[in-house]
Amino acid sequence: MADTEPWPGQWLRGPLPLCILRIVAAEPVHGYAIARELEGLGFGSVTGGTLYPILNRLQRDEMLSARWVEGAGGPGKKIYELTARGADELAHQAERWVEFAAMTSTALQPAIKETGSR
Amino acid sequence: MTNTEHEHLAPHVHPDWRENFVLELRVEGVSGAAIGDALSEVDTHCRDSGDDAETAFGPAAQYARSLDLPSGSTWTRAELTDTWIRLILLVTGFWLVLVGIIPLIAGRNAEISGGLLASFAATLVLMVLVFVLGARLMRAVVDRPLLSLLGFGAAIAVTALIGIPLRHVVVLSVVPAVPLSAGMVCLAAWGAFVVAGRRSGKTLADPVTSPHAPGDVS
Repeated sequence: MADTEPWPGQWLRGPLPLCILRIVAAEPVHGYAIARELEGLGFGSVTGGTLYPILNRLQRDEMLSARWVEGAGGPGKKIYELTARGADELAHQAERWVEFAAMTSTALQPAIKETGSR
Repeated sequence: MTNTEHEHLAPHVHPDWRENFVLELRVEGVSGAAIGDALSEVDTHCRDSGDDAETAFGPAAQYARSLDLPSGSTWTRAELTDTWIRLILLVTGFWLVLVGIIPLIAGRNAEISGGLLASFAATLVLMVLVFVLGARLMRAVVDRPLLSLLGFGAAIAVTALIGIPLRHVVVLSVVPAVPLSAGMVCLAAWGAFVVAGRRSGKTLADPVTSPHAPGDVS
């Protein structure tokens, strides 16, 4: 896959919530900063239409909490923080995802070799 | 609703997108505070990214639905009771005044027929249905305005027509002053409720509020 080709939406739907939890775990952060961080990690451009419904769901599931913070001399921002429940979920699911990704890599590796040998 | 009504909340969002977003969430029955929170977040994202809302979030209604925000009335039991008492006093008051005033002008007794009672009962049932189906009716009005208009017209016609078979069955015959004065008492009581409500400063409105500073900024 070329670097510029976006990842299929259905691939992103699985790991995206967990990766968001991981980003917020590092420090309390606002939505647009999460989108930038995801882009930096290689997820591509994650639109607000994708990001905020996930943030909303994580908040509703009590994985994240949110509060509005006044900006210095400007309008405020909604800052997300990881809750204890979110931290537990992240610790548990991250391990499983890594395992799942490794299994998928093992399963698909022969296909790359076969394609490369043609 | 005007294009500038929610401008304070989201100055970086195109007015059409903004108002479509608010309308969709209103139809979904989302509270004003939750709408203000979501709209402000759209605004900060647009401001930080430099993108317009349509590019960053897609169509307003679709994005609003994707948020899956909780709907539900924020009214307390006391507020609901107060609203129902006012509505019943108003409708009953007008109905009784109408029942009394025509015979008074004609110089005859006021006759309350089975048909009148049936129409009155149907009106109350219609009021209950409108109240209970509030959000779904709003959805129908937004999605199919012409059909909704016809539907409301048909419902009102039914409340009038339902009494026709019983229109000659006289249940009560009294001097016009009786229903007229009873109606006036109901309307006066309704007026007293309205004045008392205004003096207390309480309101049933649910404005779209800013999460930055509590209060109505619309």
